[in-house]
Amino acid sequence: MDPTDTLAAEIFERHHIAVFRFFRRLTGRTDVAEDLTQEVFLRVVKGVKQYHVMGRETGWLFQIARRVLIDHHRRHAETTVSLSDTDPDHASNPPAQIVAFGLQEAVDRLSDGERAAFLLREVGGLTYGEIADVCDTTADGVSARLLRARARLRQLLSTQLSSLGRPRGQRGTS
Amino acid sequence: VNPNHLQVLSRFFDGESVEPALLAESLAEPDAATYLAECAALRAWIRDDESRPSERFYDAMHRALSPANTRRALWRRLVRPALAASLLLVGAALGYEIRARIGPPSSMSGIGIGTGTTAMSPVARRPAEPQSTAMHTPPEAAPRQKAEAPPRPGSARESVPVPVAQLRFASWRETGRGGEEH
Repeated sequence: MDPTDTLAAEIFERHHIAVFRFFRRLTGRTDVAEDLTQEVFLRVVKGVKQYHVMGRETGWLFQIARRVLIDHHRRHAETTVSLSDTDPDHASNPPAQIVAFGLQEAVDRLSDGERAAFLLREVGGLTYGEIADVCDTTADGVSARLLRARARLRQLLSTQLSSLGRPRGQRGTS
Repeated sequence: VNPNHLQVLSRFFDGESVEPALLAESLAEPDAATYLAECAALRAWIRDDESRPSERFYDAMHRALSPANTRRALWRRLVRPALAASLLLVGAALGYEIRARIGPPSSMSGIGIGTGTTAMSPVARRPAEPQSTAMHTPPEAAPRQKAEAPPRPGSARESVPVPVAQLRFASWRETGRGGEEH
């Protein structure tokens, strides 16, 4: 078997779940997440030799994921979504004390840049440097985005987070 | 909590490098422990996701990847060997053509392919006196000998006029009587 085939298969085995969950969190739809994940790994198979040059597997993979997401939004002519941090306060802000958010809803209310940085860190497990490469920003920019994302999520999910001591099933829905 | 300290705590929580003194200051904040605990809760919550792609996804992936594998396998098994054989044939043809134009090397007769300690073939050990004698013969010698031989009748050499003796009559006088007088 060609070593590149083996490598592509190994990358798929290692990361397809993380990529799928990243897209699912990002889009909120399972079917779209599957399509996008499939597209990512088709591109991985085509460009796996480039990976030998670049090294860092996870960063490379999520850079592909980012391009796939951008292409997806272009194709479907939806509202332009980029992973750049253009509008940190784009979400209208209903009082978090009144509306109890589930995790997905809270993540959806982050700005595009904050959401991408947060999910790349927490779901993808990327370092600040890798996230910076994926999002075309600096490590300090990533740090600032993550700080804002966490502050906002803490605000939106304060009720659920205050029940940390309870069993998992009694927390907010995801 | 001071936002700078929150940023230090956030970086520390993510495993990024932070200055120890700044970290100590940040951890000394009253709500630092709560902040770290909530970050950990968010992480656990977001990672508490058992969702997996459906069977449809795996089937589609299998179908999508198989043709590519088949094409690459075809390339490896058929096209590459055919290409190598073609290159070999072209090389051989070129070599034959070049040899035909240049001719065999003159030193070929002296080269023997032997086994053991025999390095020279019997052809190479043949004495070369006749050849060397012929080569040292002056090229003018033979034609000169031929020139001294008598010319054959009818040859080109016979047409050259041969010098003849010229007779002079020193006191020649004609008379009116039809006779000659000396």
